[in-house]
Amino acid sequence: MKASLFYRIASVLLLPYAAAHTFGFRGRNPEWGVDVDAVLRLMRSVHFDAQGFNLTYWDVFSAFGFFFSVFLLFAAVLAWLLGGLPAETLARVRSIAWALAICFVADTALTWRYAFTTPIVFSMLISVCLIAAAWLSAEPRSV
Amino acid sequence: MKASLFYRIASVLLLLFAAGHTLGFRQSDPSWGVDTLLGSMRSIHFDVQGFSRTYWDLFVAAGFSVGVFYFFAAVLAWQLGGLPAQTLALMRGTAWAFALCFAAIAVVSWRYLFVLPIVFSVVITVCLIAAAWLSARPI
Repeated sequence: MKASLFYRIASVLLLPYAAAHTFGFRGRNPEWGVDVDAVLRLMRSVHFDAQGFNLTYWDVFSAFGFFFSVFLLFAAVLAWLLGGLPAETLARVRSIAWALAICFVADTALTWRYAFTTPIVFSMLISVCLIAAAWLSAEPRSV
Repeated sequence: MKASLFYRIASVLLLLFAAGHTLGFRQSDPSWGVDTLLGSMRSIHFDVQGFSRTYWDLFVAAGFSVGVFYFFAAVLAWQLGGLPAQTLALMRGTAWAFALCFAAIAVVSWRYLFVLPIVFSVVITVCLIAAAWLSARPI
């Protein structure tokens, strides 16, 4: 098995993860009840001043959510590009490969602690692919 | 000016940004008057795919995930700054994607956040664009 294959799989998995997160993170399930509606109303209506900017907790939540979307898209592009590098170059940048893998292991731990099934499964599968790819990128190759 | 210098500057800024974000995003100022809101965010549970969560859980998950990403970005910038020019030239797609990623973060910060993240993300974007520009130059 080659590192490039695992990078391409990770990249393909990152795209639906990014799309689902972007379109879903501000969504609301009607089954969550009226108490959740009240929380959302408060998040959107209680304004506060931060360094001269008038914000709500909904603004901050939206910012973090969109940052994460941007990061997932960047990770998809990075994984795809790493998958297209010649083996010698990939071996030279294996510290980047490991940093990316560790980043997704940390994300998996966070989703496990704070989130739910869909992000847990996506981040776990992506972590496995990135670890495999990083492992294989460091292997010496016979030409 | 060399690309590596801009990557090293971006890396140091990203490290500060990551630390500030990770330590600060859960803090609130009593003058904001958000105690009731935060109490509700922490206490109202709902079921999502079999997990009992609160909006505070989701907020914290998103905040820490962003913190992890900033730390990763700091490492990535540092590593790109240490690559030989020939290898860096092969990585220019990554270099431009990285710069574009932070340009998007600057736009989101501008739309939803306040001075500190706006300034950090703009300065980091400028460094990453300069580094990407210089990495693509013929050696």
